[in-house]
Amino acid sequence: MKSRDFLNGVHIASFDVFDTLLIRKVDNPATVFYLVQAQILSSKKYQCYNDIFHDFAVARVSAEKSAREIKVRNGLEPEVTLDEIYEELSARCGLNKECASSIKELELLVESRVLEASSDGKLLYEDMRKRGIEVIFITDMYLPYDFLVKVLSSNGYDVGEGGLYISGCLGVSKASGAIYDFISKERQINHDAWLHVGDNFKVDVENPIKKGIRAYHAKWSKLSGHGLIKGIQSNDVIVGSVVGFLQCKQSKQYVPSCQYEKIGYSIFGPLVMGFIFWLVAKLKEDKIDRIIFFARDAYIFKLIYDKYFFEMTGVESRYMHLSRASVIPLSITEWDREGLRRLFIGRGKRSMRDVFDFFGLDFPDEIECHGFDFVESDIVSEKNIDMVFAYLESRYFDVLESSSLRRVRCKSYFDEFFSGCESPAVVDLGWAGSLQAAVAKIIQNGGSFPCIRGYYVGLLPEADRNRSRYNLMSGWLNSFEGIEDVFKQLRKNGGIEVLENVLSATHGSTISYDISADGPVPVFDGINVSSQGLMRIESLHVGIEKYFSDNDNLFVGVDPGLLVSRAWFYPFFRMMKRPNKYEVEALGDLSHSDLAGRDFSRLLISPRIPLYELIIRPLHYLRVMKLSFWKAGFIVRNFF
Amino acid sequence: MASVSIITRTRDRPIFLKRALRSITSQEYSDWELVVVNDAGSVDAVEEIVGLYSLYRDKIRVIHSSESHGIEAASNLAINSSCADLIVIHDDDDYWSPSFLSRNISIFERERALYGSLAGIVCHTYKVTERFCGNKILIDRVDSYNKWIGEGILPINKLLAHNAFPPISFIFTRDAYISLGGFDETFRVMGDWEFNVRFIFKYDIWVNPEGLAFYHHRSGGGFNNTSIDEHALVSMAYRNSMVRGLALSNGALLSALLAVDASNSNALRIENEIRYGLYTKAWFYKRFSALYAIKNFMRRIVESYWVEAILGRVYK
Repeated sequence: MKSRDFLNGVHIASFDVFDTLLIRKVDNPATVFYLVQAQILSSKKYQCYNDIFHDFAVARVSAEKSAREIKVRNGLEPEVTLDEIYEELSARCGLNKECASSIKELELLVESRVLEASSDGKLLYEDMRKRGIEVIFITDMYLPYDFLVKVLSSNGYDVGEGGLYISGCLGVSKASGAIYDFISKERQINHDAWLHVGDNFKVDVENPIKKGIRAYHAKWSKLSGHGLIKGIQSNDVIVGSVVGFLQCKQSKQYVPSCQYEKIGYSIFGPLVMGFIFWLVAKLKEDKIDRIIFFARDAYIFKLIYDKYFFEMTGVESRYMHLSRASVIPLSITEWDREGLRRLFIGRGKRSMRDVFDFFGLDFPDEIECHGFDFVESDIVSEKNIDMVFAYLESRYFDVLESSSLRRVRCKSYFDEFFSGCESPAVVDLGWAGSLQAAVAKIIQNGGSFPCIRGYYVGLLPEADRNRSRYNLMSGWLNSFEGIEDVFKQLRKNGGIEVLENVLSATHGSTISYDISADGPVPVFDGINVSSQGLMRIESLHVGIEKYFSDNDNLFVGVDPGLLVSRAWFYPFFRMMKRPNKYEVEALGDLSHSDLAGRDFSRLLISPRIPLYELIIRPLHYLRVMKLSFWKAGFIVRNFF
Repeated sequence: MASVSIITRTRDRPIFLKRALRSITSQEYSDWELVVVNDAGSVDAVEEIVGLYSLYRDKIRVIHSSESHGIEAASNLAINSSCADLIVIHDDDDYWSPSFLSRNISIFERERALYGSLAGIVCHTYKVTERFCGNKILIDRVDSYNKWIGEGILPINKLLAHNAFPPISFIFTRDAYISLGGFDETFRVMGDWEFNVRFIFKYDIWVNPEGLAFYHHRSGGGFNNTSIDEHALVSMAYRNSMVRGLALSNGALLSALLAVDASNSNALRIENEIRYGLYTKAWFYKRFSALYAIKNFMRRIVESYWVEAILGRVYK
């Protein structure tokens, strides 16, 4: 419990309302107007006024400024009401009374969604109530009295009879200090026993003190005053402001205290939200009637989609168990030497035996008779992979036939996901679309087949190999111009590996399909991540989900297409490029394998290695550094 | 889906025939019939190989010719004795991916519903280089053969410029075959190309970019494919005959086409000169410009993790 000595001798306390007792979940109050604009543009009701409203936010700000100037010209304080602002707006934009009134109501609705009680403000308020201090509310605001009473009450503040003073209604303000005189006169308050609490140092601290009123500076919230990015598109302004809110002091009441939940909330929450908004917009645009989320990387997307977006879209979702190890062996219809070879070259280790298992071939007993110099326990490397593939190439038809047999056996598992729909889509994290291509080869084989659309967080240039006329792919990050550079950096910095770890499900990976009485069923491997690792990932997911539940009501009624922005992605991009120690310690021990299928060499994303190793075993040290996926994280973790 | 007649021409190559039957019987698509034409080769050897596939015996028919009339005559003979809606030639030394028929027929039917002018589908092909080692076939390499033909509707000029695809990758309709009057039996080699050219002058061909067909070549000894020189001679003779035919029927059109071609060649030469000039300049700049080297060096430093991390900490 904080010391509240400053409350001694206080009989009446006045609270500033905005950013003291109530906070907005955006980093700039003007974002409310952009949200109203988005609501207007999303509604069919205002379609006729589209040309007027495409720049509503700017017009709304100008109207308010103009209304205040009129007051000043008339020798009054620049305090206005919402009605006066809308009168000015109507005159400027040629709105009829009915339309202006409807938009005004919309603005109040958006305000009520954006506003929430400040936890610090509320604690102080409740403490005062317990001490029997009378509480009144003062605000320099244009919002109507009834609306503010309702918002304050719904957030747990009891306004009582006549306890709310609004500058817009009274024509006097805190800024000039006149409102303090007005209240003092009306309520006959002894200034020595009056404490005013507010966030603005000039109007809430200096001005009351000048009047002999005690003042307490509420420092628990601060607006950054600008969005995360300076965008000309309303999408960027809204999203930049919502994401930028996480940088504001007042956001700490939402951010979980657990290390992993906190990172999930503040880094991955916005990223997942951005992707899902883009996804939902795509579902509508492409008229998708079924959405299939791929295990394991799209697990969290499925959870979020079902909980928060299914009702909005009405597009049913399913979850397909597959992995590169389980599905690519079923889909080898061509001898794509380079594509297949790439599956076995990475930082992890794989034995020759595993390669043959992957292709469904027995390891040949007489391999040396063919002039090949390797045994089944040899580790596949850049040096010997060409030799293995030279051998496999000589048996290319065995590889194709083995794949065909397995494909025919398991086809019904995949067909079931696509049956009865005309326009299906698959969702995965990224990056080359190889799983989608593999599934397409299985289901688009014989008879009429649907065209599949794939939606990804991002697609690498390699995805071009896997696209086709019947197998379309779109990437969220790829839809922004100039993102290539960002994406390149992300790839270089281990962002892909971090995302694959954090967003994936904690259930095991699918290694193959067994034929049961009910048809093919997926077979999972043992979970190759420690239980501690699983708990961390689950905590990260809890954080992501909390971000959605906290911001769920913010975008009600807004077309998801108006929320597509790269700003959602920036917290994650910042972390990958310039991580802090806290983030690296949390995520550095996640492990990753960059090979398809069974692996016995999961590598840490950014391992901790004592500095003395650099002197004792410099080559080992450098090797570990080279193998770490998140280089910036490695440096921060081990050198700072 | 439509049924398909598979035509296999063979002559004293039982090793290959066995592999071809394996390729056909491994198909995931089951609605096919196979007509094997034994073009004056050993009857016993063919019967013995076909006998190995007794499970499919009712789908396989063998025609033994006592006298060889050439490869295209063998094709016509087999096709005329088959009955399915679609036709494909599977030479005895080639191979299909098990999804060749199912995938290509699915795509063909889908696209044909959109483009009524389609009467055939061709997929990308791999060229397989193999050699004989005693009685064993050893595969040396599998390379892409005709990725350049692209995807979608095959442009006429691509087929006129080259024999763009081998018979193993081409499925066509019986109606088209009948309307074209079948293969020209006077061609000793490249009869397939001549057929394809006549085909594309009348119908469209869809190109599936998946490599589902394998066109086998021997790298020396044993059963060599026909010499390349003969292909080139036949090809040139055929091109000349086409131009001659056009000159006789529409001399003005031919003159216009030749003029356009000459103009295109000239434009191409100028474009190449420009490109080559720019390329040379860029090449020198990239390799010898000190400015470029310094810029590249500075960029690497700025982009390095260390600088990033240190600056990040200092900033913080």
